[in-house]
Amino acid sequence: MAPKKSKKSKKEESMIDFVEEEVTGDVDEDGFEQAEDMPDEVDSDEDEPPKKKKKVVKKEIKQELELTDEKLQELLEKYEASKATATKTKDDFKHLPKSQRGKALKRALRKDKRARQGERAQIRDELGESAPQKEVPKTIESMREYDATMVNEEDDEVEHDEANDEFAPYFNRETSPKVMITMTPKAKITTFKFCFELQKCIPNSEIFTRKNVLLKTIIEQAKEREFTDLLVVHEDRKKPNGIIFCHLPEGPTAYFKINSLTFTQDLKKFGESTSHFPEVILNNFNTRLGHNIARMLACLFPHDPKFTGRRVVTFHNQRDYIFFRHHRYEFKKEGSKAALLELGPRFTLRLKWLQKGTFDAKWGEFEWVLKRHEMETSRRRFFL
Amino acid sequence: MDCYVGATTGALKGAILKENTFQNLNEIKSLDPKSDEITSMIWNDEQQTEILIARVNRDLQLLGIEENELVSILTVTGGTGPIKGLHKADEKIVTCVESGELQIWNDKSEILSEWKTGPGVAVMRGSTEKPEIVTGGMKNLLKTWNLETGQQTWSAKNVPPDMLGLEIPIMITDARFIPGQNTILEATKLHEMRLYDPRAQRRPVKKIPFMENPIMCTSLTYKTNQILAANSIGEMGLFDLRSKVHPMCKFKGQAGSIRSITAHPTLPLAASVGIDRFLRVHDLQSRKLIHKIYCKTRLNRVLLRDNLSILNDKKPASKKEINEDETEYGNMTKDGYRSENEDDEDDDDVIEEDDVWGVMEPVKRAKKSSDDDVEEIQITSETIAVPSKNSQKLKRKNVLEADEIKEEEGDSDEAEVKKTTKKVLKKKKRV
Repeated sequence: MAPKKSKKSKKEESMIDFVEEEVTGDVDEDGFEQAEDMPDEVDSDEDEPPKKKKKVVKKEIKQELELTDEKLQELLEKYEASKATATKTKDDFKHLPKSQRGKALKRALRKDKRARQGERAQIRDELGESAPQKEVPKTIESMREYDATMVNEEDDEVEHDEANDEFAPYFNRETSPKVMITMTPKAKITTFKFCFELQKCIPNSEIFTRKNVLLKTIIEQAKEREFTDLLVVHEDRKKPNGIIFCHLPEGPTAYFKINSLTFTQDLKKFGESTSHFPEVILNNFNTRLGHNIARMLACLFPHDPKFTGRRVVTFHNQRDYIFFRHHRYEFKKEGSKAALLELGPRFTLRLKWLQKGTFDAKWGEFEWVLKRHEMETSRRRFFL
Repeated sequence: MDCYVGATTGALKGAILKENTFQNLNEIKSLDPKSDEITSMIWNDEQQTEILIARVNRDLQLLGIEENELVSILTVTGGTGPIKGLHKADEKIVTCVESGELQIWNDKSEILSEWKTGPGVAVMRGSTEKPEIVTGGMKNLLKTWNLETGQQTWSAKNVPPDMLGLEIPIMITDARFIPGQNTILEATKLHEMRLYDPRAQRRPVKKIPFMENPIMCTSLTYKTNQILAANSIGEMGLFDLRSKVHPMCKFKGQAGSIRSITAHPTLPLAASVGIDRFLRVHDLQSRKLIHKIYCKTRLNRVLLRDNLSILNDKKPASKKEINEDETEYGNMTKDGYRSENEDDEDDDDVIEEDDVWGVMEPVKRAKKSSDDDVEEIQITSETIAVPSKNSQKLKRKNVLEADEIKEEEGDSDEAEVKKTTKKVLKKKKRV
C-alpha cells in the first residue's frame, strides 16, 4: 500500500503546481488549438523568490571584481566536489543487519540533502555570474522513451489525414456540437450527480436516463436527432468508474476509466458555473493517438468561446492520465496577474481503447487497445 | 522497395525495410479518402513488376514499379459498394464488388463475362492451381466458382445451430484456397477459422477458434501447413492446420486491428499492416519483430516482394552450419508433410534462402557457438594430448566425453566449456 499512497500524493503535488502555472500561462483564444507546453516541474527547493535573487546578484557583481582566476578555479572545483561526493556510503552501515542497510543509507542521504544544497548555493553565490549552470531535474516525463508517432507540425501527410478524418466537419465549422449524456441502466445517485456536473461544464448538452435501451439503438436515435457526441457514464459499486465517448455519426469511440473523482461540493473553495461558452485547453497531447484524442475532446465544446465568461475547461495530459479541471479566471491589476476559482468537478481519465466507428465492442475494429503487460514495457513509455 | 502499402487515405507507400523508411508513391494533397481509399491490391504479374490497385470509387489502376506511374485502366460498373476482391488469371482481371456482381475483364478492359455471387460479399480470392475463385461475406456462405464456365462448383453449408437451437450468423471476413491440399480456409467474425474440404462435405472439417475478437485476415506462410491469422485488437497468431486448436505462437507488438498480412513465399517473414498506422515485419522462426515502420496513416493492404533488400548481403562463411539447419527441414518434409515434387523444390529454396539468410540472428548464433566449440575442444585436446582427428569426432558425437575430460582439466575453462557443450547438446536435440 505504501508506494501507492506516495504516488498519489505526488500526483496531487503536481496538480497543485499545474494550477499555479495556469495562472501565469496565457489562455489560448482558439480553444481547440494546443496550448504551449508547460514548463517542467522544477524541484521547489532549488527555486528562490525572484526578489532575493536580484539582491544577491548585485552583491555578486561587486564581489566578482575581487575574484581572481585562481580562486575561481578553486571554487569551481569545490562545487564539483560537493556535487560528486556522497556524504554516506554503504560501508557506514555495516553494523546494521543487511535488510536495513539500504533504507538507512537512503534516510541518511536524504537528511544530508538540504545541507549539501545549501553548501552548493553558497559557492554559487560566491561565484556569481561565472557559476555553472543548474542541472535540469530528471523526471519521468523528461526522460520519456522515443515515440515514432510524435506529431510534427510541418507534416503534410498528417495534416492531410487530419483534414479528412471524422472530426474535420467540426473544425471546418460545418457542425456545431450537441451532446447527449446518458448512463448505465439503473444508475445510482452519484452517477446522476456526475452527469449533471458534466452537463454544467459542457454547453448544449442534454441528459437522458438510459431506461434499459440498447446503446446501439441510442446511437441510431441520437444520429436522427443530430447529436454530435454521446457520453455514457458507467458505474461500479454505485460510483462512476468509466465513460464511453462516442463521436457521431461516424465514430470513433473511446473508453476512458475515471479516477479520483471530486464533485464540486467537496472542493475546498468553489464557484458557480455560468452559461458562457468555455475556453478549452488541451495540454501535452503529442503523439498521433494523443492528437486524435485531443481533437475528439475539443469536439465536445462549441466553437467561439465567450471570453466575457472567463470560463476555462482544461484537459491536461500527464503520463497518460488526462486531468480534467474547470476554472474561472480573473485578471488582477493591469492584467499582470490572474486568479483562479475552481468551478468543479475534478476527475482524471485514462484511455483504455479507441475503436473505429460507432460503439460496437463485439464486432468493431479497434484502432488502439491498451494491452497492459505487453505494451507497458517501461515506466517511461507513454502513448498520449 | 520491399513492401507496398495501401492506405485508407488513398496514399500508396513503398517501404524500404533495410533503412526502416517509406516513400509516398503518389501525390498526397490531391487525394480524397472518400473516393481514393485503397480497398484491394494484388501483383499484376508473376515477376512482380506491376501492381493492380482498386480504389473505393471502383477505379482500377496499374502501378509499374520501376516507372512509379499510376495508370487508370478501367472503372467497374454495376452493383454497389467497393471492390472487395481482385484476381488475375491469364491476362484476365476478375473483380467482385460488395453487392456481389462478379466481372471478368480482358486486357482491353472489356467485360468478358459477368454473374452474381449474392449480396454482402466481403472477400473474393482466386486459386493459384485451378481456374477457380472463392467468395463469401456477411450472410453469404462460402462458394466456389469456375472462372471458365461461370458455374458454381461448390457451396458451403452453415454450421449447425447452437445448443439453444439458434442459427449461427454468417460473417465471413476472409477466405482462401490452401494450395496443395484442395481445402479452403475461412475466417469469421465469430473468432473462429473454419477449414472446408470440398471433396468431402459442405460443412467444415475443422474449426480453429482464436481468442475472443473477430478475425480480420489470414495469410499463407512459407510452410504449406502453417497459416497466419489476425484479429481486430491486433493479436496475430501462427497456426498449424494439422494440429488441434491452439496457435503455435502469437506475435507481439500490434496495438490495433490488423487489416492485411502478407507472408514471403519462401522465407520465414510476414508483413502486417493495420489501422494502428504501423507496418510490421515479423520473423516466423524466431517469432520476433524485425521491422516496424510508422506510415502516418491508417493502412489497408500490404504486398511483400520476393526480393527483399534485407537479404542482399550474403555471408558465405556460414555455409556449413546452414547445411545442418537444412537437413532439419529436409527431415520434416520427408515425413510426408508436403508432396514430393514440392519437396525437391522447397529443399532447393531452403538452401538458397538460408544461404542468404545467414544474416539472421539464429543462424549467426549457431555459427558462433560452433566456432567457439571447435576452439575449446582444440585447447583441451592439446592439453591432454588427444590426437587432432578426435576433435572432429568430439564435435559431432562425443560431446559428453569431452565434457568429462574438461572437468578433469581444470576450473578456469570449465564454465565456458560447459556453456558450449550445452549449446551443442541443444543443437543435437534439434537435429
